Amino acid sequence: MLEVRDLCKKYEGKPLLDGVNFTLDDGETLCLIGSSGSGKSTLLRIIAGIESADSGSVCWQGEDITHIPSYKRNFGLMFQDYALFPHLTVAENVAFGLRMRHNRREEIERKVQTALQRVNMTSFYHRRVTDLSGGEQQRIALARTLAPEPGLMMLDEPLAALDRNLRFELQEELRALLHETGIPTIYVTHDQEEAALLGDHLALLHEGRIVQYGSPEEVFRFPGNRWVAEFLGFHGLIDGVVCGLSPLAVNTACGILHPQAIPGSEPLSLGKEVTLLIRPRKILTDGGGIERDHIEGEVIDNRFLGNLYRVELRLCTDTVIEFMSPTPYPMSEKGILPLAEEDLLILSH
Amino acid sequence: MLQRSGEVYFSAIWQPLGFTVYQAILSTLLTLLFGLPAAYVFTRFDFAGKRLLRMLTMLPFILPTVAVSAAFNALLGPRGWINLALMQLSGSEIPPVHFLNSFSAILVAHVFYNISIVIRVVGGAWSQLDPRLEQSASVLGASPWKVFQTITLPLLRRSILSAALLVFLFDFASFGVILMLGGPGFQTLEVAVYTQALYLLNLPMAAVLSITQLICTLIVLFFYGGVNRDQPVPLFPRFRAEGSHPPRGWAEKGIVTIVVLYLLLLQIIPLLALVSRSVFRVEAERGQREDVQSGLTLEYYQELFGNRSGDVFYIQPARAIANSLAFAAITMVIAVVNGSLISYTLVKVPSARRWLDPFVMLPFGASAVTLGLGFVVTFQRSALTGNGFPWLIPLAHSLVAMPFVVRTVQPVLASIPPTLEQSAAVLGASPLRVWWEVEMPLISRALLAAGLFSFTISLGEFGATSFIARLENPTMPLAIYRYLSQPGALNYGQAMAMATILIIICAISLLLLENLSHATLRSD
Repeated sequence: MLEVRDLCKKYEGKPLLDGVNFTLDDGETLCLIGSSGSGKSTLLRIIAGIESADSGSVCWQGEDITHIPSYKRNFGLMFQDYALFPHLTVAENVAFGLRMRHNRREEIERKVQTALQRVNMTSFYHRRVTDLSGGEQQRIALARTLAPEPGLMMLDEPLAALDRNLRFELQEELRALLHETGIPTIYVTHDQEEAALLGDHLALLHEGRIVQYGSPEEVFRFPGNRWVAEFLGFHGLIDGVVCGLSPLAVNTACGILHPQAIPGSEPLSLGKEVTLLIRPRKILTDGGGIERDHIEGEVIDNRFLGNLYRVELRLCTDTVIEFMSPTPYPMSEKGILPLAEEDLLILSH
Repeated sequence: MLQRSGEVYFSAIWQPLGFTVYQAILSTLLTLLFGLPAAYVFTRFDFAGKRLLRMLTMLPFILPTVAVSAAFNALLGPRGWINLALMQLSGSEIPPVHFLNSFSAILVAHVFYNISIVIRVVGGAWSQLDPRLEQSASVLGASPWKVFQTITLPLLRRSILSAALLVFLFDFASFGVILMLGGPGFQTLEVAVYTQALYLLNLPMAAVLSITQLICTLIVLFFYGGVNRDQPVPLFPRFRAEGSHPPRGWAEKGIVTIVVLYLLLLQIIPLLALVSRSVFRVEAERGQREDVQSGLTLEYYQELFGNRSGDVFYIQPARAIANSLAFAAITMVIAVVNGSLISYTLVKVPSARRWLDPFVMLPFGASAVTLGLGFVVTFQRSALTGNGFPWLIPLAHSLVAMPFVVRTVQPVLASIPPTLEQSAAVLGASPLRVWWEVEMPLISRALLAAGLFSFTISLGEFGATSFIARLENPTMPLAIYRYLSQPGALNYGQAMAMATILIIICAISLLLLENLSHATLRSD
């Protein structure tokens, strides 16, 4: 088990990591997400021992390893640019970590083969790494990280440099591989969907702290605050003031709305300033009688996508809400969007 | 010009300073005039023998000044091919062409020397230009001339300026060429330092001249640094120039022909003249004209390794060769070890860069003569009296070679992504193993190139050596200089032979350097 406690790191006088805490269980994959410059890579490098933290500690299997040099940690770190050794062949690259651990020759040979098999690259054994394509380099880098059977594996945006199709293909492969090996993994990405697909847990890093931690479902269903909601790609955010507690009611510029309360969140008081996330269900069907609220806005886009219409509605606050509808909304006219309780989520301000 | 020893005359500064600046500006302009078309032809066109010609034009840059002087002497000197031929034709005994000891000799030699800088620096930048930029401009409706004017030239401006400053620096610090081809009528600051220190024994005056030289150099280096600031170092060297093609149409064919012709004439013919003159006897020792037949001979080479003694002025050639090789080997070790350490410091300790970098580049511009003077002043006792200090020469040579070593190793070292070392560390390699298994293999070519560079520079170094080396223990360039300044066909022939040997060694190391082309030769 990995325990990271109160890690702090300043960069050019500004706090980059400002008290990071989390734990990672055996066999678990944690996806670390955050915008660029949020300190994700730095956090990985501190855990790997390449950089040192200003304060805080890193514990591995109960032992404080904060001051152990990286080459004695038996971790694996795969860089975004892969960092393959250009003067070595594919096999020599994969064998590097094994040689450093003084494995026997036959042992190295066997493990290199296994690692190359895992990433479907056995036929590249003797090739020069400088001749490989981006996707091939990515696989070799992964094989090199896997081969010494590290206690903990860290992947720093391993798919970021690849094109879209290849990325989707490799996401699936990676998912299977992480399951199969059972090596606890920290996976850094700035792509929320990739994180949701690969992670057992997600940790969102913002301004040097982990602002939300949970399973992908929890994180996506109940974003903890405005920043998280925006980062996950939700746009329908409007500000308001709590004006009723039972049932919960929020007074906004677009009228009084009745959101659902987040289970387990701190209790609200009358007059508290909050942010509402308007998140219409994926497909909006007519009526059904469960809608308690509705919201008005100007229809600014109405596009037929095969069997549904994608509608964009601009509210009085200039917030734009996007939803799918079986019926068209006439352009440039007033549109009314019915909302159920679960379409409205209250976020802390 | 009689001056009492120990006095400083300001008039003695202005005159050489003025001449130094004047000849340097003129030489630089001429070098650009011939170098830029050559850079263009080498980047844009493919033609038969291009690789060979390109390599041959690189040769002069690493050639020792003495060898170059000897080469021009062999072509245009009073005993050179052209004068010999003209004398044969006219039956006269007086050489009709007076090329040596003239201003034009200085200019021609400077162009000969530095054209390779323009070709390398500007041509290098030119071949790195993305051809799609020019293609885009062309598609957007720009004529070829407009494309050149609005796209190519602005993008090359920095490298042209950089090359011009470098050429200016070399011309400004020119010593051997002025001394041997310009003759007594011309004095640059460098030559003035030399005469003041060694002939007039006026060390204070020499020091004042040296400082003047140093200040001027620092000013040029400052501009040079400004021009080359924040130029990105490519991670891996790009492939050979895309977008070069065989010349099409009469205009392209014409320019390629003209450039190839003048490069051959300027760069290759003097060297051929030298080599041929070293194996060809055309005259006898003074007063023996009738007895000697002209023809091919290896006499001059045999004489180099022979054992003739009894003459006070006699220079043991084999000893000079042995000295030079030994000094070059020691220089190589000192320069590569020190240069690598400095490169490491520059790359790994960014805060050191600001003060260390100009310091390293100083001997590059400070000129060999100033360096020699510095050595003499510092180690005066041990160098000029008693048994001397045998390490002094390789020490001075390694200082001259240092900037080249640093400029060869540093960019390669800096181009290694830090993630490679970090990967190795995470994979379990201790710092020592990271160095040995990752860094060393990646910089080995650069180290080899730096070593070759140091070796070649040491072999040809003339300015500093002329101060430090003792009369009875010369190096090859000093021996050539002395042979050339002594009368007699045998001395002349031996100078030719020894210069040929030097040139062949230089050519071999250039060939090896070209094959190490993965390691950037010069970052400029």
